[in-house]
Amino acid sequence: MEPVRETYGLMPEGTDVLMYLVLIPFALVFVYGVFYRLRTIGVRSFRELVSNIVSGLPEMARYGLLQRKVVGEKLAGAMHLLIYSGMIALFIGTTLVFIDYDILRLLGLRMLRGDFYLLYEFVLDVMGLALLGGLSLLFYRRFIKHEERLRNRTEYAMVLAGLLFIGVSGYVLEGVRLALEPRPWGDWSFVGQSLSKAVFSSFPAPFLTTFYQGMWWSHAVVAFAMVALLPYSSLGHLFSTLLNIAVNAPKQLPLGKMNTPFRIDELDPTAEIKLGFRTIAELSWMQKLGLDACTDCGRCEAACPAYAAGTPLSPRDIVQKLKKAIWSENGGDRDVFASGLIDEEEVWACTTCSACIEACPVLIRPMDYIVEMRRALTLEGKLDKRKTAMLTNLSRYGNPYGFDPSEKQKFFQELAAMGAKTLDENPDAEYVYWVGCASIYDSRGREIAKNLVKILVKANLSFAVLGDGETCTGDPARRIGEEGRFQELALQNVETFKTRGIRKIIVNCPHCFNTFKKEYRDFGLQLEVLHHSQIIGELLRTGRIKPVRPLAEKITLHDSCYVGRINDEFDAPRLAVKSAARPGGFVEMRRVGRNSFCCGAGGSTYWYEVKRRDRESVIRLREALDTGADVLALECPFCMQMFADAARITGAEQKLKLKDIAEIVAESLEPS
Amino acid sequence: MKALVFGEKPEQTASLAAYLSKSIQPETTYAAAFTEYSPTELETVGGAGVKKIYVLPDKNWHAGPASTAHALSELAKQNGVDIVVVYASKKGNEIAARTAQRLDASYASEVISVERSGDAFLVKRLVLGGGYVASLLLRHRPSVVSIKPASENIVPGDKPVVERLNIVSDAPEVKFLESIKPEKAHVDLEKAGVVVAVGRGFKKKEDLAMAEELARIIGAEVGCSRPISGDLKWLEEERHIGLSGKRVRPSLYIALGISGQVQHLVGMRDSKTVIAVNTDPNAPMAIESDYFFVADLYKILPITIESLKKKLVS
Amino acid sequence: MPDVVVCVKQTVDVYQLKPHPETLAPQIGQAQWKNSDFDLNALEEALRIREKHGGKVYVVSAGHDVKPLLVRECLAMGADEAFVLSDPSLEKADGSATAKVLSSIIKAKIPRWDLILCGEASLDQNSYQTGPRLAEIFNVPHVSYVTKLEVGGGGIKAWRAVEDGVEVVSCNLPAVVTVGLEINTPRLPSLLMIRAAQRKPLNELKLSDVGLTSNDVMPKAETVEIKALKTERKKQKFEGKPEELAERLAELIISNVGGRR
Repeated sequence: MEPVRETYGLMPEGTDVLMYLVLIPFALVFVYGVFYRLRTIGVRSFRELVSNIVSGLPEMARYGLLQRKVVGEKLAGAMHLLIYSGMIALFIGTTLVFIDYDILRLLGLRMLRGDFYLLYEFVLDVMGLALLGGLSLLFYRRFIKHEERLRNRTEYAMVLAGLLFIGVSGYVLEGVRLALEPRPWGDWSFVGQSLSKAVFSSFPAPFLTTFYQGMWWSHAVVAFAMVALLPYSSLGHLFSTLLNIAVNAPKQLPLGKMNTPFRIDELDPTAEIKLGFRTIAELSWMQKLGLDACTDCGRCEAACPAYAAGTPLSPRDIVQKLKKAIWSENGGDRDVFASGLIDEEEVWACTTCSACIEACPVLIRPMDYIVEMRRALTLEGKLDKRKTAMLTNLSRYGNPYGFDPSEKQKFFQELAAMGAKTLDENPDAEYVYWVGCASIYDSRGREIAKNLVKILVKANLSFAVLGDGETCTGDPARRIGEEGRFQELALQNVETFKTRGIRKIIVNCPHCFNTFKKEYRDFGLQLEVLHHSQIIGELLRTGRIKPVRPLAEKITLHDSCYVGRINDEFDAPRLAVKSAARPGGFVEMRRVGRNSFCCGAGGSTYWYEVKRRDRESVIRLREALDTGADVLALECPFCMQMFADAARITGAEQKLKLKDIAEIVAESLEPS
Repeated sequence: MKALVFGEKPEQTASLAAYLSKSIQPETTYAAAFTEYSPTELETVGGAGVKKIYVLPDKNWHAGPASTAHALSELAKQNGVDIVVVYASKKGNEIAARTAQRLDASYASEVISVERSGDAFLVKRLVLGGGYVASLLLRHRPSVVSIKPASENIVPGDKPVVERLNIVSDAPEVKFLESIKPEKAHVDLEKAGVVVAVGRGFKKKEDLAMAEELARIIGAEVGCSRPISGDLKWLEEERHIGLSGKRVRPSLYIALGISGQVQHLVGMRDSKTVIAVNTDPNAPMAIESDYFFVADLYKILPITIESLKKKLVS
Repeated sequence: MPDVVVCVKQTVDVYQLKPHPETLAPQIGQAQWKNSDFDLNALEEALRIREKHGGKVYVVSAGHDVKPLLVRECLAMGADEAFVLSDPSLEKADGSATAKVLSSIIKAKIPRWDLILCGEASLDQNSYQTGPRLAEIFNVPHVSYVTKLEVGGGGIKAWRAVEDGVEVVSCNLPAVVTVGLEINTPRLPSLLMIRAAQRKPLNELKLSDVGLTSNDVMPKAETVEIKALKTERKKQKFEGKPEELAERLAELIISNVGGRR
């Protein structure tokens, strides 16, 4: 007897037709739900939706089907992968039955027969175990381990129960079937076979038949119900995440790049002024799609430094609250701040470190919503004193501190004495070293600049400084949401660079670095921008500088957000530090590279105060102390200031010295 | 030359008269009051140089500055005074301004000195944020100035003539409803004349008592760098001086154990004179101060405090 | 619906002012100009009154060289209309001249108003004069140093900070109120808003437009000299025995505290 799939084998005649009749209302509910959800999000044109999806198919495959980012976390990733693959396999299995029974059979053909059928039975039993394994992990994470970031809602428990029931009842059906009608190939369905032998073989056949039919219908109806509820429940993430990935991923700007909603120099003075959003209704359907795709997994929250520091911000809450507003009655038209949905402090607490974007498995960008809300707040200008002062300082003095710009001269004279000529004196210089406010006006920052100049002079690099021509890049204005003042500075700088024919610049501030590299493109400036770690790395590689005296201390390195995660430069600073370290004198922190943790100064937060329990810098400094290093190597003057404060607070000033990589390398170049 | 002086309180009126006796030396100094002075107070203003005091009904005071200004300008006119000098309290300044407007007079507020210069008065006052001294000539008679002379010991003298006068004023009225005394001393760092600022050079919260005592004996407000208030919570947030706190501009700023990171410096750079105490000779504060003491504040502060106590008592 | 007039002075940015190294005179020509801080608090308060009670907010500004861009910032904050008067004779204007010009503008151009709001003092002169003088000219009550203001029922209730606490007072409208920095945080118009404010009415006036001649605005208090108190930090460093340093410190404190106590 050839093994073959016995569909409806133990069911009364006509079950197949009845089942399809039962399926119809469920299917209708499902279809209605899909349309309802898409309409609420604001999808108006089906064609537009499809064309957007098509253009995002590669991303959908990569991040959706292949789960590129989901598996980034071990336990959660494994859990999801098991459930995901189990469900897909069982779905394919069921689809194969449909093809086999409802199509091929009518044509007198069968597919689920012979060796293929045996393999089918085996694979489905394995994948069923995968599903149950995944669900057990889910149960463990939510109800035993009580992972902090997981929130329990009744709905989540019900979904879990439904899936468990489908998985378990499938095996039960198999077991009962094999008990009633044992087959020689039954061992291929190893789970069902074991159940059959261990449990069901002792029951009387009539009971089993009735039980089987009851169980069969419950299995079917629960499965139908899950399908029907899909668009209305958290299971909807099956589609919503894929949609978000397909539609939004291809359009997403690189990290660190904000969109340019207008050009101040091309602005129509009569046009209505709008910037950012204060109501859900102002969001595009694509932005809403991003909100809708949130599964409440909490990875962004776990990665968020502002959340860790006990500020009111959780990127997950931002997205979840906005998502909820999409669905609540009139929620779309309500002002998110005035209605109390979102507290302004949440929005101001963000350091724009982009860790939430990095963490999101389904490519939602919580930070983007935050900065758009900032833009709306800043447009109105009802800001607190500090923010107002910073912006006023930028427009007025060209530096956010509010220092008299003429104070620059003195420092540039000092640099000139070390060999850093101005571009006026050295117009043929290959590079321009843009020193940046934090290294001009802050004495600690000035040490960084001096050491960098020392290195560049030693390497005989052809470079110059701008001197009086330097102003702020406008970064703090852009991050705080004051696009106009940012552009005013950006256009001024672009003009300077163009008229002076500057093509290559060196910066030692990651914020200047990112702004020149990514933001200025929208204003017609393509520059070769090197962070000082990169030029130092290059000089080391080419042998133009040679460390002669390794540092005696043990060194660890803090990856800054805007050079590291946001601009993918991890190697150059390591090369620089390692070149100056003694053998075995370099040690990594627990969180490195893309997982590094913000010092708390980014996104303009340096310039004002946010309610908090802790400081990002203190949390991070403790991590540095944990490595047992004597020196914390830094690549950003703002990180330097933040950690200097943190060291004072924790009393770690003597234990851990803070040095910029330029200082470390410069030290290693001097014979003792 | 005749002068009319007015202060909200008897001792203020006395200090004005005493100051004028030293500076422009009027032949006659009149004073205005809206309450009865006690015999001792009369002896004090008399000793300060007041020859005659007009006591006006207190409703001229309670009905608000317009009414008070009306009364003062009537007195000035009746006596043909050359200069009206008002104690530069907050109320004094607004009354002086209205009085000057009523009299169509030359007026300089919050002056630091008054001299005669020919027929005119030469006054000096701080302008442009306090970093500059302006000299002004007041040529019109009468002139009005407001000034806050330093208090000094006044030897009581003969009581001035007391004249009770009723000036009926229809000036627009401001109704006084209630006075709210501050629950705890309000910290007004931004307006403080002397600030003692503390930083992480202090190891324990209890040690701040040294700084507080110093502040108390020299009449200063206590401020701090961000870690002290924001992180350690040793002091209230309203005492935080710096980028995300207050910006102060006192005439004397004493930085104790503050290294002088840029976040702090932006909050205190406009101080007139800066004295700093820090163990690190290379602390950034060194180039931001007029007098920089390379010392352990724990060693020198107790001695300084004792010494100040002795000096200030004598 | 009270109509509010806000007097805004443009002053040199005193924080960036540098004295001439020899004459010690302020180099005003090199410095930037701004709207005087307290006056922006007054404008902010006017805008808040309008948000609550309706009415109009007018900005009035006078000076020897009023910068339209700075007036535009006031309009961008939300003022409905601005009247500015520039005349070279106002360069040495004192409190009396300023009050004269401002009151003349108000009389000529804003016949109906309920409240005049001013900063309690200006950033450059710090004279505490304009508000009380205007009140005297219009013969209305004034309240100075206000840190909280309520408008309603044809009058105002104001909380004002004086030396020994806070006084709560009330008076009828029309009135003049001067405000301190504590009353609010002025909104900062974003650059986009400043651009958009180009559409709002900004009326530029001459002395003759308000019935004045330069003789009418001669100062009664004439500034004859302005000199910087000091230029640079002394940067003196003291090292040595604690006892000696402590004594030195005490002396320096006393000489710098001086008669302040």
